[in-house]
Amino acid sequence: MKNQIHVVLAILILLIAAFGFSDSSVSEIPKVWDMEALLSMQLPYPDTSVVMKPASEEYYYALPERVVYKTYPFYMPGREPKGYFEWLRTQKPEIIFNVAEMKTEQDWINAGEIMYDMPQTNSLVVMDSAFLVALPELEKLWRKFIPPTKDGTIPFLSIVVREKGRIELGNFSCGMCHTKLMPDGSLLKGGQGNFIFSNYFASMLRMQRDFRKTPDSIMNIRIKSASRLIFEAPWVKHESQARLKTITVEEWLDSFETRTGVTHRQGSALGYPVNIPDLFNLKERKYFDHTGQLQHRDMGDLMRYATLNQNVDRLNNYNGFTAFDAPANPEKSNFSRFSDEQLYALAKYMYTLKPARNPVVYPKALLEKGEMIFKQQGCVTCHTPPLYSNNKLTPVDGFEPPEDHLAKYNIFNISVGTDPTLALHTRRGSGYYKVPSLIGVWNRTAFMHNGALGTLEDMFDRKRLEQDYIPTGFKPLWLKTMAVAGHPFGLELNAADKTALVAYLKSL
Amino acid sequence: MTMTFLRLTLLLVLVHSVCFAQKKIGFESGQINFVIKNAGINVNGALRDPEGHILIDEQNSTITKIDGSVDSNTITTGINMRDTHLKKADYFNSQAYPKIFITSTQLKRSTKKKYSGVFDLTIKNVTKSISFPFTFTEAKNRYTLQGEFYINRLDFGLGEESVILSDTVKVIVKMVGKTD
Repeated sequence: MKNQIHVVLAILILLIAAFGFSDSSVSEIPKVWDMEALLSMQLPYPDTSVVMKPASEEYYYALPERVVYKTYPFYMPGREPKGYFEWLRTQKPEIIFNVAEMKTEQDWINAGEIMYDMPQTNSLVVMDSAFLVALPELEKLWRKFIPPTKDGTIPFLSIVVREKGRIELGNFSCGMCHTKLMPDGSLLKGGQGNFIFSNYFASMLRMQRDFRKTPDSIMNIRIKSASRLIFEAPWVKHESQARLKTITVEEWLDSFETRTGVTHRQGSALGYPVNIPDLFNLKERKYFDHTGQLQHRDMGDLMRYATLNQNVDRLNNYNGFTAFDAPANPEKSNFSRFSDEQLYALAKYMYTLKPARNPVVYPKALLEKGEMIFKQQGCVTCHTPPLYSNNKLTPVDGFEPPEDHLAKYNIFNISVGTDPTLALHTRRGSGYYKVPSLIGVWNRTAFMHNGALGTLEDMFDRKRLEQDYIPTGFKPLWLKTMAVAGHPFGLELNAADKTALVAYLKSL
Repeated sequence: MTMTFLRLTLLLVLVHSVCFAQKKIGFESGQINFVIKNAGINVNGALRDPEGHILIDEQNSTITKIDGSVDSNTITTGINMRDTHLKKADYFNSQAYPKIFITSTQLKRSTKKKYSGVFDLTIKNVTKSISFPFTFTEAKNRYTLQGEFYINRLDFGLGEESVILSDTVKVIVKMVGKTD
């Protein structure tokens, strides 16, 4: 008996030595492309005749998995060290995500951070001699909106070496929009990013048109293709869809540009972008997107959301409409997907993201007064501590929640009257907006779901309700003034009370 | 035979008039206020224009019946958007159930002005029995009924469980009426 125990112990020791004290095992990784989970996580469209069908499981898993290569810093053109590109061409490709090396929870989280910063393989830009020649022209465009760093790097972009001698500009990582370069030069991952993706995207098209002298006919095709990819929703009857049919290349490029903290993204509408949400306390949140279109029931849903929004939603079919032409043979296409293991690591990392504290310290009495106003004004009902969101969806004007929604979803059944376009007239539509968390609000530069306000103070300025108001945040290019309607709370407070309330909110 | 029947009927009518002579007081004004704690502070609200009446046994000036109602569409709490929400299906569902009803089932007089009563309170088609003391006074032919009671809002499907909003609501009633 004693010998048997010794044998069992010896086997256990050997097993532990071989595999380490792993508290995260591959066996617990959720299956991402689970059709039942994919369909049930989505809220119906306001127009219930529209049904979104994701790619089949067979097709999805036949797509090539992304290979995670080591990346190198990308510098503002002209700031790179001398001979940098030549040196990069001498580097060998290096794969830096290897499931066999994941032993501990922290290993997975660390790997997840790599995934967070990993550029999309589907959209790498070859840095050939023609591209390098164009870089100074791009710099002229980029210096207008890319925040500078001391060492000249652009932390939102990177360079990838997938084969020796060939370097590629990497972009479209999660961090491209969800990382904030702070004034002290540090990076706050998960924050409302201050890289203006929309302007970057427009700059790349401008480069093609102006520097590479791409003919108008080709540019027209590219703009139409971009419109289809990003905005089109043929079932929607709204001026934003009509505009896409008549807009010129120049108008499109100008209209696509936004401002800090605001972006046009796939599934939004031209002229109706979104403010970039932060990703803090993600584990506690029940819905993704401003419109809460996708539910967050478990880590598997976060993984599904991540893969969908890293290009795979292009494969969605909406009553016969697709945003791009999917490769007929997924196995032989350049279009790739994350592996389930990569998404698992990414989700684990995203669950660790925490907000930064406001370095400004407000007087205690002011904060206490602000907290009292926060409660008296009823803010606390929707922005309930500790998340400072009640985790509910509010219907927008023009949408009446069907009775079954009230039982099925977390509905706070009152519209606060904000612009309903995103929720009603886009591919991200659900008929609702999610109640946002106020944690870290001090560190945001875009307010309202469309980023129409540039400061928190503007939320409590009743002038914003007037048609002759000039928004301090984003407004469509074709409007000179615009009322920023809705969320009428706190507008009647006196100046001292507003100051106290804002101080309290900025302390969260 | 016919005469005997007529006499008997007349006697019964007389006896009934003596035994059950009642005075009806209709409410002409009133206030229903309520208080609920939200995030630790009191939120005050009101329902306007309640209606109803009181029956009084004229022989002993004692209330025998109270009936009242109020329209939940009149609710106010100081924040318009909140008031709109309170009328929706997850709270009062004022479109489907506009009226809140209260009717006495037992009344007991303890002093000249003080009563204790048991009432059926109906909100959103849910009826619960509640009891509370109240006063009933008369001055210059105006009758005033005042009382307070507590309800659990969840008993009536008014909202859902909440970490910040109390389940208990204090209701303060003041009704003024005169004889019809």
